Parts: sequence; C-alpha cells; structure tokens
Amino acid sequence: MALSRPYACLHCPTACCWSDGHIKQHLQDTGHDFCADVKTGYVFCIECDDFVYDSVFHRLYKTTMIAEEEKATAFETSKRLREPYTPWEPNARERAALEGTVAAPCQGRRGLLNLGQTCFMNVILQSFIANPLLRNYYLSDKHNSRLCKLKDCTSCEMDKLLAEVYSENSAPYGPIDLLAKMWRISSELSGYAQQDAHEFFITALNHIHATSRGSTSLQCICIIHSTFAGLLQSDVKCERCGKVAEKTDPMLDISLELKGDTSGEQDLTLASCLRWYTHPEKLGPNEYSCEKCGKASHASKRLSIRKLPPVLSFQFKRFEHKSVDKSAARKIEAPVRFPSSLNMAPFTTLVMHKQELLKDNGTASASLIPDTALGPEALYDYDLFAVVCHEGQIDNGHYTCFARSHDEWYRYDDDKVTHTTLSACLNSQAYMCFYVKRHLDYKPWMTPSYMLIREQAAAKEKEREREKEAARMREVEDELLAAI
Amino acid sequence: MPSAPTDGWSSALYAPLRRRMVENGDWDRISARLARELNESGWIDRFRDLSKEMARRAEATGGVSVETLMTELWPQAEGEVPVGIRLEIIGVIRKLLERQIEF
Repeated sequence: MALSRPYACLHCPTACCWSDGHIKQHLQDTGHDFCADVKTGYVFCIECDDFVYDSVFHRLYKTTMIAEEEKATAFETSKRLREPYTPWEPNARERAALEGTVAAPCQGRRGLLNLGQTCFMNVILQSFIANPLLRNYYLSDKHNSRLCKLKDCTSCEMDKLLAEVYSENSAPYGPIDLLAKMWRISSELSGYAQQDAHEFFITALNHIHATSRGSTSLQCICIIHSTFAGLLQSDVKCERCGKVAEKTDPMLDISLELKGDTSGEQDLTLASCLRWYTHPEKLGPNEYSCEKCGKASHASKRLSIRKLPPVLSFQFKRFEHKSVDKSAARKIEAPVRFPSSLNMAPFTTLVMHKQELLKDNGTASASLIPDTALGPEALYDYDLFAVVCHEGQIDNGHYTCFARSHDEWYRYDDDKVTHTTLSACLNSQAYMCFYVKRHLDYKPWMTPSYMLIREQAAAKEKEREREKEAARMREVEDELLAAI
Repeated sequence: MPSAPTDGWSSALYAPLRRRMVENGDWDRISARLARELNESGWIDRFRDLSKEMARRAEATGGVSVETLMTELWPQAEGEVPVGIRLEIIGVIRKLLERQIEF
C-alpha cells in the first residue's frame, strides 16, 4: 500500500495515515501504545492522546536518518561513501578526567555595553557568540588566551568574550579590551563615530584569522575560514562557440542587491535576491574575448556557489554610495522576507549545472529529487541563528540584533536582552542574516590537520632534543680527548 | 483535513491515481515544490510561530495537544495559503492528470 505520509506503529509492522484517525484506530484496536510519523520521527502515545518528546527517540531517529543518508551519498571523485557518524563516547581516560569537573551552563546570554556609538560592534559580537562553530571552538579551549603569546591577539579577545558570556555573571559586559585592540589594528574603526556593522564584521574576521592557529594565506584552515569560507564560481559562456570559462574565488560572505522577482516591492525575499545574484548576466560585446574561438563576442556570466560554508552570512546592500563621499549615500528601507530554514541547493554550482543540462536536453523542468549524485537534500539545509537590524539614517542610526539560543529567540539592544518570538525576528528589517548548516560535512577517513600538526611538532621537538644531546656528547668527548 | 471524495466518478479514480502518484514519486516532487514555495512566502514560519506561541500560552493551563493546535489553526492555515501558490500547484496537478486520464 502506498501511503504519502505514513505513521508507523512501533509494535507491529502496520503503517496507516493520520487522516480519518486510521492509525489511532489501529492503536485502539490492538492495544498498542505508540506510533511514529515517519517524515519527522515524532512519536504519538495513545494513552496521552498526544505527541510526546523523549530524547532517546529523538536521538535514535536522528542517528538512523544520518546512517541512511550516508549510504545514499558517494563522493564525486573518490566514489567512496561518507564516513559513518559515530557519537562520541568517553573512553576510560576521558571518563576519569570528567569525574572531577564542574558542569558549565549550556546557555549564555549577556548584553553588551555601548561604549560610545559601538552598537555596530555589539551586534556583530552577538552574532559571533550565537555562532555554534565559533562558540564551540573557544569554549573548548582551542585558543587559550592565558597561554597565547601573540601581541594584539584578537583571537584571545574572542576567547575572553565567550568565557565572560558563559560565566555565572549575567550582567551586561563591556568589551573594552576588544574595542581598544580593534582601534589599534584598524585605525579607520577608531573614534566614536557610527561605523558600518558589515565593515566591522569583515575587519574582525580578518583580525581573528590573522591571530588564529592554522592561519595561512592560501586555503587557510583557521577557525574563521573553516567556519565562514566558501567558494564562488563564475561561469562565462561565449554565445558564439558555447565555450564556458570557469573561475573560482573564495568568499567569506555574500552581499546581495535588493531585487524581487517582479518589479513590485512586495516580493523581496532572500531567495529572490539569491536568484538575481545567480542569474545569467549579459556581458557587452567588447567585455569578453573567448579563448576558444578567439573573438570578442557576446557572452553571459553566471555566479553560483561551488562550495557552501558551514556558516552562511548574507548582507543586504541597503547603503547605496553615490560617490566616494559617504554622506551622499542613501539607505534602501524596503523590507526583505527571509526564512528560518533555507535550502541552498538551487544556488549551488552542482545543481545549477544539472538544471542547465536538463533544460538543454529538453527534459521538463522537473524537480531534481531524488538525484543521488547531488546528495540528500538535507546536506543543503541551513537554519537562521542571528539577524542584524539597522534603524534610522545612514550616519544617525542604531543597530540591534536577534539571536537564537537553542529554539528560543532573543533581541539584543546593546545591554538590553529580551526574550522574543521567531515572528518578531522575521518581521524585522534585516541588514545581515546568519545561517548555519544543519549537517556538517567532513572529508572522510582523515586525521584532523591540527592533530597532524601536533604530531609533527612533537616529532620535531624530539629530534631537536636528540641533536642537542648528541652535540653535548660530542663536546664532552672533545674535552676528554683534549685532556689526554 | 480534506478526505478522499466519496461520491461521483472521481472517487473511483481517486485511490488508484493517488497510489500511482505516490509510487512514481510525483507526489513527493509536487509536495516538495509546495513546501519550497510556502517557505519562501513565509507561510511555514508564520504557522510555526503561531502554533509554538499558542502552545506556550496554553502551558499555564495544563497545555494543549498537537491535535487541538491543528484543529484550531487549520482553517486559518488553509485560508492563508497565497492564491498564486494555490493556483500554481493546482495547475501542476491538473497537467499531470491530463496526461494520464481521458476526460
């Protein structure tokens, strides 16, 4: 029997629909207690006459789904399957280490004091605090500010900030040292004038990258790049011979022009802005000369996302600078609708190329589900965790932000933190939105690079010790010989 | 919740048609498209928030069951599906059926 939305009895192999009470009838008839909605994993109890939550069921459902998804995804080049996820279980040594520890709170929220028009900095810091990857990195001591010897280390400031937020103290915190360091390193940020939050965001990312472990200028694997870096691909297609020139560029975030699908202002959505961002743009006849057919020709350029970062940051270009003079700019107030969950598949290079292929072959523009070569849809899902808002004029405005803590939303207005709703967040006028990937991907069967580096460093240290010892021995021998 | 039609010639066709749609994946494809459009229009988030806040308010008085939430919100949810999306999906289903049935 083909059910579009099956509810599976948890006691026998029966599955029924929810509608018209079919599954409930089965439970009543048989005396079975529980059934589950296959699509969501939610469990229904006939005694409670309601859906019930249990962490064991929740965990079991999640691990089962992931195991099935892993079997259905193969890497393109190596053709190997994904490494199966195994939850962490402490070994004997780890369990002993955990014995004497004091549990830290798993939630941390503190307002940030405005130190003089610093709301632009506070909202970005709150987005960092709410960022699960950054938060986990610093809370797990990956950059210990008490041991770091770097001068003007911004990564240390992040460590201190996270420690303050997750301390027992919930009073508003003033990030004075961080501000002072940022002023010292980037003089354009100094002074008490209002700054642009997005500029501060990029500047802060670059500072933290420069002072974090693993920082390199190419293919950097520092915490900032591991979290925010994606790859943008631009395809330039020669209209004459059809040759496509591909070029990739790294990116830390995406700046979107405010564009709706039609001319009306009503339909400004994050998705419509992304469609505009990735739409084929006609280049003028003299803007491009094709490598293959060698002539200056009509061409079209198309952007797509080749590699999705774990954290996707969007900026809506609300501030139009008419000239270099910042005061001659205007602010675009139009609200943009953005979702709490976002699927990025339609904007990725892989999917966009597949869609082009289908169009060329004349296949009806069917949905691409299911297509195992593209991976399960879940790999493209993102969840909103922070929104930066700006009210007022360009140089006379105020920044506030919304950030999610587990499933609850909070509004941050400098030192004032208030519990709010998803609806309040989504109805605000967003300037920046931050999304985090629901399922992280990993290169399979690899030792993490930080472990390799540690092993290499330990090996080098041993070698150095050995040489020192050998040199000392030689000195002793020489002295003995000289004495003879 | 809308149920299968129980009279007329359409009821005889409904079950086999539905089964075919589920078996060859059309149901899931159209369902996914509908979900995508409803998400972009803000409908999904609106009812995610409405149901959550309704459940939160009810906690003070012993809570509310999922079924009650569904019953209370269903008419509003159905009414607020944007007209454009409704027509578009109906159109997709109609085209699909026209290929399979001789009218």
